[in-house]
Amino acid sequence: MFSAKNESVWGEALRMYVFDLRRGRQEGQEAEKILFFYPREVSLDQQKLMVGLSEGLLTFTKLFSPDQPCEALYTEKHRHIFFECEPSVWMVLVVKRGSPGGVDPTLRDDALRAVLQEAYRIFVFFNGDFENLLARDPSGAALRQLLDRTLSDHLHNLLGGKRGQHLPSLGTGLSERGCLAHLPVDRHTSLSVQSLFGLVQTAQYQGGPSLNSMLLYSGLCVASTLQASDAATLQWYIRNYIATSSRRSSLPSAMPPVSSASTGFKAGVRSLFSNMTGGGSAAAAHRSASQNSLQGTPDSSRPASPGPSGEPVSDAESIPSREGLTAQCEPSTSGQVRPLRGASWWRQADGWMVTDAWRGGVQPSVYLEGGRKRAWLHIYQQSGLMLVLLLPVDNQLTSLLPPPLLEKITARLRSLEAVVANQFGGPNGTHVPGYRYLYVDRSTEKMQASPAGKAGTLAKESLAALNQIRGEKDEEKASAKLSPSIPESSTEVYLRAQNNAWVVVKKTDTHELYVVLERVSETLVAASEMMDRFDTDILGGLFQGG
Amino acid sequence: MELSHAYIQHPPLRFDIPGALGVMYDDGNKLLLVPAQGCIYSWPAAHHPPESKPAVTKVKEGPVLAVRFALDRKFVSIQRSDYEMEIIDLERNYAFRQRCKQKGERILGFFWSDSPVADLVFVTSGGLEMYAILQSRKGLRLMEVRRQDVSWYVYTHESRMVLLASGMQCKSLAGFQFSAGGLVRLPKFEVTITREGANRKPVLAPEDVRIATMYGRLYCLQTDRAARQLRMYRFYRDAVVPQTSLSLYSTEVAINVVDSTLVIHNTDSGVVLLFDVLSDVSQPLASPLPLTLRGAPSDEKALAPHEKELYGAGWVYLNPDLILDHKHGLLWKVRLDLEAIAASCSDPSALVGFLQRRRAEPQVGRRLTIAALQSMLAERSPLHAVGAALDVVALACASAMKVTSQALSAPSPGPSARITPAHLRLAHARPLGAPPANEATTSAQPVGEHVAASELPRLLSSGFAGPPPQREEEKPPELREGSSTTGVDKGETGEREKGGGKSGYLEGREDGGGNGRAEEDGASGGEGAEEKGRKPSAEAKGKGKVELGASPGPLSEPSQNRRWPTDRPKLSLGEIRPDDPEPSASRPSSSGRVVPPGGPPSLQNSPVWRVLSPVVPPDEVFSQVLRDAPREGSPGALYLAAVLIEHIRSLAAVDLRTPPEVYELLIRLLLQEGRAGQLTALLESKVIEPSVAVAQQLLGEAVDQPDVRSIGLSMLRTLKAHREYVDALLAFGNLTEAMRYVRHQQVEDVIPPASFLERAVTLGNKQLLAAVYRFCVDSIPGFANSPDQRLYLPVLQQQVAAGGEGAPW
Repeated sequence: MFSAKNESVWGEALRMYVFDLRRGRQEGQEAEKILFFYPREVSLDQQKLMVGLSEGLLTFTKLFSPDQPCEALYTEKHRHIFFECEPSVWMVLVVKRGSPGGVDPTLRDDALRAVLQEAYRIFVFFNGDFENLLARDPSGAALRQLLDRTLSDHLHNLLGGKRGQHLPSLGTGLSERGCLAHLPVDRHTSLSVQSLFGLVQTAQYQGGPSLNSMLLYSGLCVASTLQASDAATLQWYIRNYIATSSRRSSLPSAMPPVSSASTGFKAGVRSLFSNMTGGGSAAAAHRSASQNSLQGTPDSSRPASPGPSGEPVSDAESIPSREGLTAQCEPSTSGQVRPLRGASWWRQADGWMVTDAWRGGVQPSVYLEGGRKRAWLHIYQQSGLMLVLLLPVDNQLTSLLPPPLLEKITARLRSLEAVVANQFGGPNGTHVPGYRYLYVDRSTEKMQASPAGKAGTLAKESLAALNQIRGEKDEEKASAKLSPSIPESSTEVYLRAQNNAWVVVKKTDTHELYVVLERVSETLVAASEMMDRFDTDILGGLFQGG
Repeated sequence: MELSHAYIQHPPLRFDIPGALGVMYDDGNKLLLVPAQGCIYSWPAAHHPPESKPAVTKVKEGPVLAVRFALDRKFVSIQRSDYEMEIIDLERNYAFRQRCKQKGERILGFFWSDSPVADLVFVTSGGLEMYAILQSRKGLRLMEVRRQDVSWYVYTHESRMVLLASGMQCKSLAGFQFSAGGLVRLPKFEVTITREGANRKPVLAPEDVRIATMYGRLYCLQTDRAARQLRMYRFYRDAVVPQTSLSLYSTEVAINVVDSTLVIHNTDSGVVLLFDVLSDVSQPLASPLPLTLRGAPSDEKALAPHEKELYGAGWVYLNPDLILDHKHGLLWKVRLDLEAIAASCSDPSALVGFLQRRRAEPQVGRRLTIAALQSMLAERSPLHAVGAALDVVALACASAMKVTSQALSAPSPGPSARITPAHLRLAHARPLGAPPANEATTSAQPVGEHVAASELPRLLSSGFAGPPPQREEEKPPELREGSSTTGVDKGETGEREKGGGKSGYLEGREDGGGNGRAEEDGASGGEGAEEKGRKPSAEAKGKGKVELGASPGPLSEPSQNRRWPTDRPKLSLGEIRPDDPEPSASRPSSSGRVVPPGGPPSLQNSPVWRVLSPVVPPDEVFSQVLRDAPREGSPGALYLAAVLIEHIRSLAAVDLRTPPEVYELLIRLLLQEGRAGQLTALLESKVIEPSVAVAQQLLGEAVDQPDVRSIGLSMLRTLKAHREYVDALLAFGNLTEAMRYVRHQQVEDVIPPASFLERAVTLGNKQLLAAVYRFCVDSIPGFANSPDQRLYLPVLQQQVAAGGEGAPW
């Protein structure tokens, strides 16, 4: 994506650290502040030095702007980007300026800050927020360990360009981190999906868990009941980690229910395709393996155990044998959550996705609503459709979905798939000929953009102009935040780039639209007309009122 | 009162005439006929309470083997002997005789037909003889003879179908339907009879075979006493397909069809079994209970002992729902106690389907439907069951509204536009197989001609009670054929056939069983909804599957594949339908839907269709079922929210408008439960349709949900609700944006300038106030020297002075 390989070079010089201003106030205890530092190899003194600089800068700028101190620091060789993820807890990203091996000097700050925000959101999604973790373990050891695992894994994948991830660059100007990519469907389909959600939601009333669901098709969100940011993070995870691994393990997913006669071969195939982690994966082996691993698991907070009747949950929980896992990861991490490392998911014959990412046979769980709620993660796949169920951990369900209901759901998914597939325009379904665009709805964290392949065709000059104008808009937004008495207002900017392309920004309080028109080397009027057409045809006249 | 699902209502029709030559039932006119010397007494059978005084028609004296009135009652035909009929023109008082054409054959019976091929049909031992009345009205012209050995025959006017039995065992049956499109010949079929003894070959008796019309479908019901089975054969246009067999628990059974429900009387034990062919027929609809007599005077003496006697020796079970006690001269009508059935039915979603198919007692059906839905919600039935029930209700409502609106929107030439059989024949003298497509719709156009709004109330009453006698004489006889049941009022459709819609019904069939589609959709929803998708077509297939599986090849497929409302290509194979009152207007015309989605607003509130059928319109579903449904606690609220979404889905599937109150409640529930994400998704996908009311609710109630509020805001903008949008912006203090909007949209006159100025003053930002003032001066016509200006200029000057700065303008 976005020719990530060429542009991710600057990542090699990247530093990312998290520190807590409230900790280590005494002289000599500076190391106490540091919660996370990447890369690990940097010496502690060096770490202290960098954190000290950041802290000093923050303290100094707070004198002038107590609410929003320093946002970024430009030095001769580096750029420091600041992000206060939780009160008094700061994340800093340090990148090298200019080539070689550095980030483009003009790249807007917010594009880099988005990397920090994304990292924080992902951490919280899997581990909960800092505040809770610190409250549980004031020494910070647990938090440090978790940060080290999760963020290191994440950065490792990000910098390596693995799992379809990429670092920001000028070329990614028409994309937005942390937004939800939607598959728009018609009202009837939406109703069917919502009806399906209702079916799942009301499957169990006793105890009444407020269950959340999300339906994805080909990695695009068809609908969800989640809050926007949770949905976006979940989609990020599914697209980058689950969808890819299920693709790799496409053979096992196509397998009929495992029969005892041919388990050997199939187990071999499965283990081959599931990143060489699965040992014996015959059904019986699964069960015994998961039981073994259960006994060895201190974590007892898994959902009430399903009966031995082979209900979906029990199958979903059965994971490959432990030998396969321990062979791959160091002993210290076994029994711990490493969802971003070496993890793979694959589809069982019954449709439920299973993973080895949550070690020790623990049912995958994630944190929603900024870490406030914890929920078990269940994923059911039916060809192109993926139904994600997020069940609150505190419920007392004996089984997630009783088999008769599951049958109904499967039937509905089957009929839905045909309908949704019809409305899915393919990987280039969002392409609008003649336009390269990015539309973001901040209220729903929804985004729609030209496909990466199409956006990649833009000329350098256009991208530079786009980056510049986006940067200006970011600054306006930041300054608007400073003085909330003057609310943001709609803006519309037409910018002519050096190569005569038009870069257009349309913005209301919650909607943002960035468009590059490269073919129009004509007048402003023509460009404006093109934009009106785009607004009417693609966005339903969203920007016409203002 | 004794509990029962089926009952007969006291008082019966009493027809004890001294010197009577017999008693006959003329089902074409729904008349009970008692010939006596020199006259024929007739009672309308459908009236309740029954008429005590019969109408008298004078005829010549002589033997009377059988009597039937012509369908327009201008003639009466009397079978005088095995070979001779007498036909009397009642208007001119002219009589003539007609012998059967085939020498040596006996006349087994006869009936009047309204099909273009014949006015009067003789069934003889040698086949069918079809006659038309001469233009001079002084004789009959032989139109066609169908030769075939006939042992006995069965005919019902309801189905327009005659079944001729032949063969040694009489088990080979040949069917002919005298439909409006012409004569339809069905393939011969043989019924199965189980041997009783070792050597005796069983012979099929006429009383073992019955033509039943249920939900507009035609069935042949055959009682196989030895095997204790009731075998059902369904007639399609070109096939007769064995359907399920019902187990009988007795050899002494009799059959009625009440409001499309199959009623099997076990006459020896006195209990009644009910079956609904559109539900699961593997088990009775409700537990077996005895037939009861209701409405009998409490005074024992007032009740003659023979009137108390149930299943007496003289009982004859007439099609569809009458019981004739010829021994005592009584005619009973079998009725269903829907309340008792509802009380004993264990599957509420199937029950709702059944109730929505009731046409006999719409009010009761509606009340019980509502009660069933209420109890489903109270018991928190599984959502798919609730959804299925709501689907049935929505579908029934959509069909009913469509039918009525079409009937009402058709031109109304008045009830006097009568067309004689001769006219009809002219109008329809064209080959059977090639009905022009367009004519189907055009000729069906006058369907509603008699159903002018003023007429409807009368028609409504014609179901069972029947119209007042004097009206009855004027009306075409079909009007009183009120039994066959379908989605539509009976009277209305009876007239349709006379009124030139006649061709419609063959075409209806050709059109893939479009005839009666609306009704069937409603009827099939019950089962169809279980596995259905979101479209009615998919849902209809759910039903269709059953029949498809049983039918040979693709023959019946077109008729089953009810794609609605999309039009389908014409197919020559279709399902045979009875001459039922389903107007061709009730199906979507090939040119598309006549009614806009949701029907005209006036119709939604029109009481007409509400009286016609037990439909529960969406607003009533909301006010009676959903609004006050229990919603204690979070699960309760989420359950109700899910039900509301099901409700919206079921309405959307049939293009009905969702009442705004549904959205209002749904939004409130979701906000209350903190499901902003779901709410956002519903708004984004327009599941909750954007409206000013919705937007304002979002703005007002989602106080701590800025995302949801901003959706409300942009909804107002896209709806171009200028006033509301600007008000909302002002409420948020976004004055500059509001002013920009006002100028951009050129809606300066919509918003009083004072509201801007006042808001600016309350915000206490003098720059803003100055900007607003300047905006008003520049953009709002007539602001200068207005009271507003005089009021706010000093305020501005004061503020500026206080700030010690120069005037900003």
